[in-house]
Amino acid sequence: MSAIIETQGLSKTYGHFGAVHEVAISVPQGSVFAMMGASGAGKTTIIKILLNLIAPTRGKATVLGVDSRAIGPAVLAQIGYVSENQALPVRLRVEDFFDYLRHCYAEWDRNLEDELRGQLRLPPRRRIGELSHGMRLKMAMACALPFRPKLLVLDEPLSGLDALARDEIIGGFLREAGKMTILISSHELDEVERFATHVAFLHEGRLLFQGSIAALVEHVRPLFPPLAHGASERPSLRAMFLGMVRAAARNPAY
Amino acid sequence: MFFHILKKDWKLLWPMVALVTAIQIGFDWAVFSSGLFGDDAAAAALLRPLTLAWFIGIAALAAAVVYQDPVPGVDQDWLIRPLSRTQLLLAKLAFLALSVSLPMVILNLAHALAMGFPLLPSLNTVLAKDLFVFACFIVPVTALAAATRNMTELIVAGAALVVIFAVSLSASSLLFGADWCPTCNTGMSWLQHLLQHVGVTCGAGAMLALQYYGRRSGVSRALAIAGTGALVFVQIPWNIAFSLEQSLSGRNGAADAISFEVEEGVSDPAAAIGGRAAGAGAGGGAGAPVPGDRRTTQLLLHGRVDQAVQSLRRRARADDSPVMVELPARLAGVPQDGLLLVDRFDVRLFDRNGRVLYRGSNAGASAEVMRPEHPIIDIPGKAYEKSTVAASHLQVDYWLTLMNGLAEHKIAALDGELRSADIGFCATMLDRNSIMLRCKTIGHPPFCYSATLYAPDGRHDPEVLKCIPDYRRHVPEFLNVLGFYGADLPLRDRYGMGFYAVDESELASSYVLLKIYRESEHFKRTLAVSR
Repeated sequence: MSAIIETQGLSKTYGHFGAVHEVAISVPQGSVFAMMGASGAGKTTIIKILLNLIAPTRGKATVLGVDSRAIGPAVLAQIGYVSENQALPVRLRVEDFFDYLRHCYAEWDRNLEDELRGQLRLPPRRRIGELSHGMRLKMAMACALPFRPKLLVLDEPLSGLDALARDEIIGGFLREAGKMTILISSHELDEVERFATHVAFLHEGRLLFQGSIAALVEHVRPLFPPLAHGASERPSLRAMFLGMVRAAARNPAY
Repeated sequence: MFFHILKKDWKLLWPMVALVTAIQIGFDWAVFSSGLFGDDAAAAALLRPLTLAWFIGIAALAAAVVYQDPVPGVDQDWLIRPLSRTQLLLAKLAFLALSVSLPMVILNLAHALAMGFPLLPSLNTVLAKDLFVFACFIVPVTALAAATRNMTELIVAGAALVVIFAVSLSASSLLFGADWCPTCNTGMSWLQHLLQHVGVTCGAGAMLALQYYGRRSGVSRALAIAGTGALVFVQIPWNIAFSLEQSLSGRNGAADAISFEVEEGVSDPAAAIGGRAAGAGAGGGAGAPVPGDRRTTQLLLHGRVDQAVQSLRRRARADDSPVMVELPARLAGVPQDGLLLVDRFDVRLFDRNGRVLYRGSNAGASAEVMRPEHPIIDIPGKAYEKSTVAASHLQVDYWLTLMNGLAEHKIAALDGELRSADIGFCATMLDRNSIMLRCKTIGHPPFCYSATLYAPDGRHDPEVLKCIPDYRRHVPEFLNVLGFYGADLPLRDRYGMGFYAVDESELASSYVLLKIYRESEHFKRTLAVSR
C-alpha cells in the first residue's frame, strides 16, 4: 500500500518546550490509522502540521503527495476534517452552513449530505452556536463527508461525548472505513480499537511505535509473557500502550 | 466562491449594515439640516454623537466582517476548507465597499446635489472623498481586525496603538523640540499627511497580505507597532517639502520682483540685533524691538484676537519671554492685490568670528501673513540679551508664498445669498454684534480670504482676513463632502479701540466684499543685517 501521509523527522517546539520530537509516521492508503497517546502527547500538533495550520520547527510532512507547507485549496478539497476544537461559524444556521459549503467543493454529493443530516438528526433552522457539543461534532462530521474526501482526519472526535453520541459517530466511521483513508487521533483507546487497522503510539511528543496491529503485537510480544509463550488472544490496545509507556520509562532508549 | 462568501456575510451582518447605513443617513441629514448657521438646533445637537457613531459603526462593521472568518488561530473552520485566500480577502473588502462605501457615495452625492452643486464636480469630489475613507480608514481597521481574534483584542490593540502614538509624539518632541514636525502648521503639511496616508494604506495592505496569505499575526502586529511609530518619526524635512511644493505648483515669475530692501536712513541697522526688549521702553522705530502693547493693539485692530491674547500671555512671562524684533527692512515688489504668507523663517545670529550664537525658527507656529514693512521676528529673551553684547550679524531665511486675488464677490450684508463656481454657496446673517458670513463649497474650500463690510457710499469696516495656508490638491476628509468656511464681521469694537465706519442703521443697504486668494508662487528670500 502506498502512503497517503508521510512524515520525516517532524519536530515542533514552542520556545524551550518540545511538543513533537523527530516523529516519522507513514499512513497507508485505505487504512484506519489511529494516532494514540495521552493528552499532551503531540497528536493534535502533528495533525495541525499535516493540515498546514502550523509550521514544523524541523522535518517534513507530505499529505496526498504534497508538502504540508504547500497545501492549498486543491489538496484541502480532498481532505475531510473533524476536531473537538473546530470553530464552526456559530451564528450561521445549520442549513445555511451546508448551503455555503456546497459551493466550496466541486464534488459535493447532495444525496449523501441529505442522508447524513437525516441520520444525525441535525436541526436545519438552529444556529450552530445553539447546538450542543455532541451535535456540533455530528455537524462537523456531516460536513466532512459529502464531498467524498480521500483522507478523513479526525482529531479527538469522541472527547466529551455521551455513549449514544459516540455510537452514532463511530457508526459513521465504520460506514466510511474502507472508502477512504482515516487518520484518527484519540486517547480513547478502547473505542478506537474497534476500527483501527494501524496505530501510532505517542508519548510526550515521541513516537513509540507505528505500524499495523499485527506488527504491534509482534513488537510488544517480549513485554507480555503470555504472548511470548504462544497465547492466541492478544492484549488490548490499552494494555499494549501502557506496556510500551512503562518500558519507555524504564529504558529511555526503548 | 467570492459571491458565496459575500452572501454568507450578508446573511449574518445585514442588521449591522442597516444600522451603519441609518447612522450615515442620520449624519448627512444632520449636516444638511444644520444649514450654514446651525438653523436646526436638534440637527446641530445630533452632529457630535452621530460623528462618534459614524466612526464606531463603520469600524465595528469592518471588524465584524473579518471576524466571520478570523485569521489568527488554528481552529477556524475556514482554514481547512478549499477557499482561495484571495477570494476571501476580496470578498471581505467588497462587502465593505458595498455596505459602507456605496451608501456613503449615494448619500454624499445626494447631499451635494441638494445643496445645489453641479453633478460632475460633486461626483468627482464624492468619489475622491469616499475612496480616501475606504483606503485610509476602512482598510486599516480591516487590517487590524485581521491581526486580532475578536472585538476585545481589537479594542485592546487599538488602545495600545494610541498609547504608542502618544509616547512617540512625546519622545519625538523631547528629542527634536519644535522641529519634530517641520511641516506642521504650515501649508506644506499636506505633503506629510499624504505620506502618512500612503504609509497607513500600504502598511494595512501589507498586514492584510501577511495575514491572509501567511497568517503571520506576530509579524503583522509588529508592523502595526512600527508603523505607528513611523507616523511620528518619519517626517519630511522642511527644505524637501518646500522644494516639492515649489515643483508641484510651478514657477510663473510673479515673485521675481520681490526682494528685501534694508531701509536707508536707519541710523543704526544693528539695533535689530542689539536693541531693547519688548515692552522695556518706548522705542518704536525701525530697528527696535516692537513694544509689546503696540503689537497687541495692532493684532486687536486686525481682528486677530487669538494672537493678541497669545501676545499678552507671552508678555506676562517674565523670564525667557520672546522678544519681538522689528527688522529695519521692507519687502519691495509685492503686487498691489497680493499677500505674502510666511511659511517659515529661520533666524541665525553670528558673532564677529562667524560663530552661530543663536539659531531658531518659527517651526511649529502657524503661518502668518507677512507685513511688507518692518517684518517682525521672535527671539527668546535670553538669546536676545546675549546678542546685545556679542552678535554682529543677523540672517533670516524666509520661505514665502505669494498669494494673488482669485475672485471678488459682493453679498448683501443682511440675509444675502450668493452662489458661484469659485466660492460655492455663501450666505450672510446678522448676529448680535456681527455679520456672519458662512459658505459651503464642494471640494477644497479656499484657505485664504478676506471679508469687509462696506456701506453703499464706499466707507468700510476693517478687513477681516483669514489665511490658514493649506496648499493641498485633494480633500482628505472623512466626514464631510462639503467644505465649510466663513468669517464674523464685527459691527463694533468691544474694547473701543477700533473704528467701525458702517453704522447698523445702514446694514440693509450695505454689502460684504469677499475676496478669495490663491497661491501664485512659493519662493525663498534671505535678509541679512550686519552691525
